[in-house]
Amino acid sequence: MAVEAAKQVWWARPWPLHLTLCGLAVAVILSFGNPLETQELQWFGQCLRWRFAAGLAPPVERSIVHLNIDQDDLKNLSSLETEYATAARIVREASTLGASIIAFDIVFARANRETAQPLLDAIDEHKNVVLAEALNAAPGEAEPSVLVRSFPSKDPPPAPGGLINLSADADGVIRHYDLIHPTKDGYEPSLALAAHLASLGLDWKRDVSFPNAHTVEWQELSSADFVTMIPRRVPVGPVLLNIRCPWAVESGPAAFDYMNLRQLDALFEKASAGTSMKPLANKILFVGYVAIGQGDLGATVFGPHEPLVYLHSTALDDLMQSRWLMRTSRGADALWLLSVLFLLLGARSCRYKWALTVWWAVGILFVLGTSGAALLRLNLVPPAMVTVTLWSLATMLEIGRRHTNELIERQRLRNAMSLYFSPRVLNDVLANPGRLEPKRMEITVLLTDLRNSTALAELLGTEGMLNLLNRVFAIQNSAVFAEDGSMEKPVGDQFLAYWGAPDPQPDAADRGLRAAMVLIERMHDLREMLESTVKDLFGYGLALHAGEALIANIGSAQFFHYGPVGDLMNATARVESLTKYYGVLPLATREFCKQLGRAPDARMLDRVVVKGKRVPLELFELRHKFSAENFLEIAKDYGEAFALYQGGEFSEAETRFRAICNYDIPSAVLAQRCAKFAAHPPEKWDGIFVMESK
Amino acid sequence: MGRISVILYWGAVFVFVASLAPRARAESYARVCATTVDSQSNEVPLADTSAPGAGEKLVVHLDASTQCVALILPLVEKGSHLANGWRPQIVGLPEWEESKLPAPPAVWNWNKGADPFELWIFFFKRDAAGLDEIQKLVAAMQSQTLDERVLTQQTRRLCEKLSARMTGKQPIIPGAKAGTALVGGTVRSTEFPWRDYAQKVVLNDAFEGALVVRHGR
Repeated sequence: MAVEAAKQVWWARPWPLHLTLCGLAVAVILSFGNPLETQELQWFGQCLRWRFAAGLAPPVERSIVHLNIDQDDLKNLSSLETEYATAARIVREASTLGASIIAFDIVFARANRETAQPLLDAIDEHKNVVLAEALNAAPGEAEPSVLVRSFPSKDPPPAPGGLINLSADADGVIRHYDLIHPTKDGYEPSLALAAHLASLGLDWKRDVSFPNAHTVEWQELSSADFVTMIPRRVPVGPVLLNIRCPWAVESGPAAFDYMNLRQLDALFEKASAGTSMKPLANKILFVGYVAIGQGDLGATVFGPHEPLVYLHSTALDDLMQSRWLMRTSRGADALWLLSVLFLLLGARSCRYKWALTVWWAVGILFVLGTSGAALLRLNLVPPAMVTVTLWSLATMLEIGRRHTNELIERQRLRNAMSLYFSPRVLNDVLANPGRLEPKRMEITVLLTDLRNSTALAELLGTEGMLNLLNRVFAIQNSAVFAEDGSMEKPVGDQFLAYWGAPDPQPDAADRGLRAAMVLIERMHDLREMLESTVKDLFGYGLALHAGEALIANIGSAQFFHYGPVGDLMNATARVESLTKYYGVLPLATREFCKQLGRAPDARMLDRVVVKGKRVPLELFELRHKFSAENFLEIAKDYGEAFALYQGGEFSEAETRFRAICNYDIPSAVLAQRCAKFAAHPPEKWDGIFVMESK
Repeated sequence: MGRISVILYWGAVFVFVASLAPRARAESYARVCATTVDSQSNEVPLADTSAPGAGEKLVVHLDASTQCVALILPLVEKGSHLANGWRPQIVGLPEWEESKLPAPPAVWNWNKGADPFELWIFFFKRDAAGLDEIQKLVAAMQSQTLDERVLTQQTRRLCEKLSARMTGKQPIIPGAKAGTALVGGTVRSTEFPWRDYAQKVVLNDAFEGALVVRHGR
């Protein structure tokens, strides 16, 4: 039944389970997006850090240079006037040094006209400045909606402007960059985009269009012929910043060139001295504060206090190199998740749990490796975390499924073996299957055989007989298992139980005796419940024997049966068949009685050599609940007669046997034998009777 | 005998040392002279006092001691924009053969616009890396019908390609004004003796060099 159940349940095979899991995951991704988006981004950040540490970060655009206003520079910027004057100086010096664009990450919105004029003059003179704008939240509102421009009183603005707003992801880390910001009056470019457009000589309002709600477009020179203008499109939504390295890294392909204000001054002085070259020729200069306390620091994947001006330059770099990172689409994510199913193809060949665990680790490495490669080679950020999670879930489910099937199989085995072992023995055997190895052991055997089974079968019919056998078997089973015995598979109407295997039991014989007594009592009760016709035919014999036997699994790999084999079983069967001959219920051998801890009430019935054997057996009738009340008196008289019989005084023995044979069947059997021997004395008498039949 | 041995010994030492010394190499150089030509075809060297005027044109004479390619990029002083709408010029220079730029039909008219400008003059080895693209880009910039935005982006792209040379990060040797004694080659008496006013640009081992001629600074 258990086998059938295991075959029928839906999780008996792997695919329904995994298809369901993957299908659910794909449906969730397609419907609601990636539920582990934050973890994906954290993993992405880790990949960027590893990429940088391994020296694999792609080089930044060398035409982008930072002018970092640091702590020392701030000492000279104590007032609004000096701040504006310094900005004007920056514009003049950087322009003279060749800078093509100067983008300020500083909003100049506070000064009066007089203070602002030097900067306005410089902007007007060089026409290469991009000014910062900011979207601030109106009082009482959470979302920023009020646009604050540099030089708000100037209309039109003195220079193109770009928004410097940056928003962090759910975990507080800035990874995304909005190239275009929606405002109440339409869209505004970011500082990076504004700088890029200015470097191309393009105007945001004049040259940029929105072909659809998700895309911004402008024209850029084709690299194929340097004449044709081809459309350049970028998404309206946020893009993932391809941050190369921490800003504190001083040099290297992945780091932006930078200088502070003092270095700019020095460079300007040197250039003024007459060098023909321009150190900042064609450079786009980002000017911003990196000094702590200026409020322009924030958390990025490379640290909690990165100058945010570097995010604008990174965005411009991505824009110029068309290298920004892209999260894969939901459809691609779904396809990526389905790769788990392909991984599971390999898992199927993992026969053992440890192999499955190794395959799980291989799958994890595969997913993480391919996602890393996608990042490095394709600038794609695939859903690695959700895939790893799904793969882990699938592997756990597969382990659970296999474990469940194993449990079912074990239960099936337990059910099968519980027919033969008591629960305690069964637990021991299941816990240590090595105990079922073939071995010779001293065991005690209890064998019962139903009498008149042919007549009973005729009387009861097949089903009735089966029912009776099951009831008898239940009695045998409970009596034997109560004494931690083990049962052999029943053969016809014969039941065999044994003690002392698979583990030795020092009190095996005592247990067998107790089980026999209980069995006799319950069989009596059963008999009393039967109909009279059945009751008259119902009878059985019981034999108890002890000795060495081979205990082993008998059979093949497909079918086997655990139990004792050997001469002991045959001898016990012969002894049991003699119960009918002597007309007694339980018959035990001396070998059994010697094993008992305490001698039972019993009488020796005979010394015989059973058919097919050469070793004589001494047979004892055991006293039981339903023995004659004067069992001991009968046993005494029988013993005296038996002694005469043993001594060869057959006539005298016959007389003594006949004196008690009216109420003792064994005495009648022996009286008859003595009469025969008296008439025809045996040639050589040693007190052992040789049975001619079974 | 002993004296001869000493002479032979020191002679051998001299030969050995001489073989170790670097070989004297003929210095490669180019010469450049920017001039203005008025409506009467009077040609004078470009000087700080030079000013735009009706019929005034700018001309650059140049030659080189070795085969190379010369590029002239006229830019405004403050920014990456073409000065006075003058298109950049590129020409292959045979050894010691004079070239005059801009090559017809291009003309650098200097009628107006007194803003300072710079003539960035670069010399390339003929098979220099990236030169093909530069030549292609300069050729694309010659059309007089180009849209202003296209020209702006072409100029920016050209500046990008020359950026390393313009910032001075690429090793180039700007030369001092050449003296007459240094000037070689032939002078045709009927032409303006530009070599007398030329600046010398020493070319490096890769036969590359650069010079900036500024006006109005």
